[in-house]
Amino acid sequence: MARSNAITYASRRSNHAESSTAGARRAVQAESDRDRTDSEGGSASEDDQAEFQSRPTQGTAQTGTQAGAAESHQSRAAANMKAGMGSTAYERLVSETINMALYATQRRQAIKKDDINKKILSKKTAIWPAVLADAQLRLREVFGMELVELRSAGQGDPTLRETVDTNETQVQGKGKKRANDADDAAEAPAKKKAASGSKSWILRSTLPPELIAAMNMPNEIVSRGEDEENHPAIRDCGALLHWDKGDGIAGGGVALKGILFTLLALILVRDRSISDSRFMKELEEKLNLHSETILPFAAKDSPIRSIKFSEFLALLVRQNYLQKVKIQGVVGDVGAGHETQYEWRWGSRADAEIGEKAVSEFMLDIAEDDDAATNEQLDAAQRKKEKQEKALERKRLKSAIESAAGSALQDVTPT
Amino acid sequence: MAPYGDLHRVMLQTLMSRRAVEQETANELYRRAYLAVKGREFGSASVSKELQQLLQDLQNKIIRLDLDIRRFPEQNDTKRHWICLVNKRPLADANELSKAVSDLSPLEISYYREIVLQVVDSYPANSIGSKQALQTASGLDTPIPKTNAEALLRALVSRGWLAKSSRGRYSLGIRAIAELSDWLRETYGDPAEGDSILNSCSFKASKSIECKDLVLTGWKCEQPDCGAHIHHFCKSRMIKAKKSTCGACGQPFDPQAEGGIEMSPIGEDAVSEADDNRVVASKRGKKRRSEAANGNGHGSEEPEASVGEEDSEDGDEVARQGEERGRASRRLASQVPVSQVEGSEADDSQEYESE
Repeated sequence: MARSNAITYASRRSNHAESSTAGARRAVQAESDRDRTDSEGGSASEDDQAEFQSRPTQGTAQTGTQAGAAESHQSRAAANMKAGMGSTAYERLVSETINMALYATQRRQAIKKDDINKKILSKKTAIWPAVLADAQLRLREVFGMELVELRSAGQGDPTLRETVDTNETQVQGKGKKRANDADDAAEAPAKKKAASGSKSWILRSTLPPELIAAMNMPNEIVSRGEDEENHPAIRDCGALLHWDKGDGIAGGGVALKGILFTLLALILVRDRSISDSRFMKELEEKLNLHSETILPFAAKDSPIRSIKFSEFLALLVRQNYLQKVKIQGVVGDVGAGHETQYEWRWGSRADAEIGEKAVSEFMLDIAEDDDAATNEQLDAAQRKKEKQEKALERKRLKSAIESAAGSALQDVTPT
Repeated sequence: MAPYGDLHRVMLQTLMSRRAVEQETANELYRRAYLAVKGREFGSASVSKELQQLLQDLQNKIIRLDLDIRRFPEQNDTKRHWICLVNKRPLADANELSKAVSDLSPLEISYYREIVLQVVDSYPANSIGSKQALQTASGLDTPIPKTNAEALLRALVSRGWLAKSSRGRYSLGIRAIAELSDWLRETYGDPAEGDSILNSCSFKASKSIECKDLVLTGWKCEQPDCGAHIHHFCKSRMIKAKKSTCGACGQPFDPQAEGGIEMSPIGEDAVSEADDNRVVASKRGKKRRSEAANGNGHGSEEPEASVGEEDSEDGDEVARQGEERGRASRRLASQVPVSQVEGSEADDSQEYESE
């Protein structure tokens, strides 16, 4: 099935290439020329080699010179395979990988190795390290994005690290409990894979955080046509990243993002995990969020107007922002009994895409906003003092969050 | 040329989060991107020129990734241009529509596909009334309730897959034109049938400069044996270039001139507003094409007997069409001066050609 698809696909593509304009062909030619030059410059750099261990050669002719890249058996196999393949055919694998990643991102899905094998690589699965590395290079260079592998259910989970860090500082019993949970939580296949990652990837931006922040600032742009009666003005939120519109899938509404951050914050300051019963109770009592609460859904691009809180939680689990982990009933847990107990933790996407530091910044921003209104009546000296106090308070809060989390806060998962 | 850098990447991400963006809006977004990346205001006055250069740089980078950037005018005579990031990867068949309209559920895609089909069949109106759009939702194998269908239509319009006119009619949106033209031609195109939504524009300024895009809104030459279609926009271009003749038969546009042609409107102007609330294709089901969609658009076809509700209205149809013709000519006359005034859009290249 997959193979026949690949064949029809390839033939369709070649038809397409023939019909493309001369201008487009020139562009492709110019681009490949330029890339050849780029790679000649780039392959000399040791840093690049270190960064991409399995980094393949850019041009097939250079395969032999890439001693560093061929260190692991895997990447050598990939390089050999690549050398044996036409460069156009190889390019296609890279661009299909990038396309798959871009497509999945629109739906907040991860790309999975199984799918890549089936839909792109076919029988050439050994070439993957080379394809991945080339896709990474191109994503970073062209899009300012990169693929980041999600940790598997157990691997790199901050709740696991914490069991080592905090056994001394936390209540003993609790630390022990978590160690057990982690073992149980990582279900059998995940445990085996723990060392090798989840084999699924998401896209994230590689642009500097300040730039991303600037790209999110809305300021409406109204473009008026000449004939406003028949053709109404076009309104755009004006933020470079069109978050109020571009994310048309469920969960895309910007208000829901705020709820997600709040949930992540609540889990973070509860030792990075919270039992289901306690979580639900707190959400209900403190935030008035019941499973039946209807959340507003503001994304204009989505046909969904509202979503129930329980559905939203399920969606966040599906999207890997949160994970709901099965644990054994433990003495002292609220409502412990013989029934199966669940615990909420951050999902792998939250670690890869958001990071604990950003969530703590979110908490600090919210805590700080309260005095913003009084600021205007202060003179310069007072303002300076206020600023210092705020910085101190921020620092204090930050360490409070850290100790509530149980250990130093993590930034996003490195690639 | 500025080296490829963060400004390019920011603009590419900006385009990716919108997919289609109107030119004036894009200019302002470019200014903001410039400020965000460089830390200073964009100084030069020619923002469209700078943006165009940047888009060409982007295009050179992404074209081999099966992505492309296209810029084209709105088919209505709004003089607005859109910049679209499109997938170049062709869609094999109707089932692959989900690859383009990627964020819809299968049920929602089946609804969209049905609407597209009806729009195709509604030629020469190339649009359907909102009542018909909603009725289509309840006629699906798995019917979509009316309120959900309304929300879905709104979302499809917001995303540019459909366009909703001030008359409330739905037609193909800017992204559908940008991304689905080839798919439409392959899926619904039937060379044996002259009259369909799938007519390419006859605009031709020289051997290399021509417009082959679908004419969803525009004019049709009524010269016998011609029937060529042309966009409002492209017709204005012809007139501006002092070539006020049909690109196909060579007869002058001006009906008063010797051999001057009558032109009939294509798009929602081809049907009267009274039709906006009429449901014309309720019996279609999953039948791919029906000659009788929206009556005898051409005037020469015989109405299909199978669409009963059309038959009784034939008399009205003919009368109405006469009226439409008249209206078309009036429009034509009044449009000429407007298009001659137009002068700022010197380069209207349909696609960024890399030089």
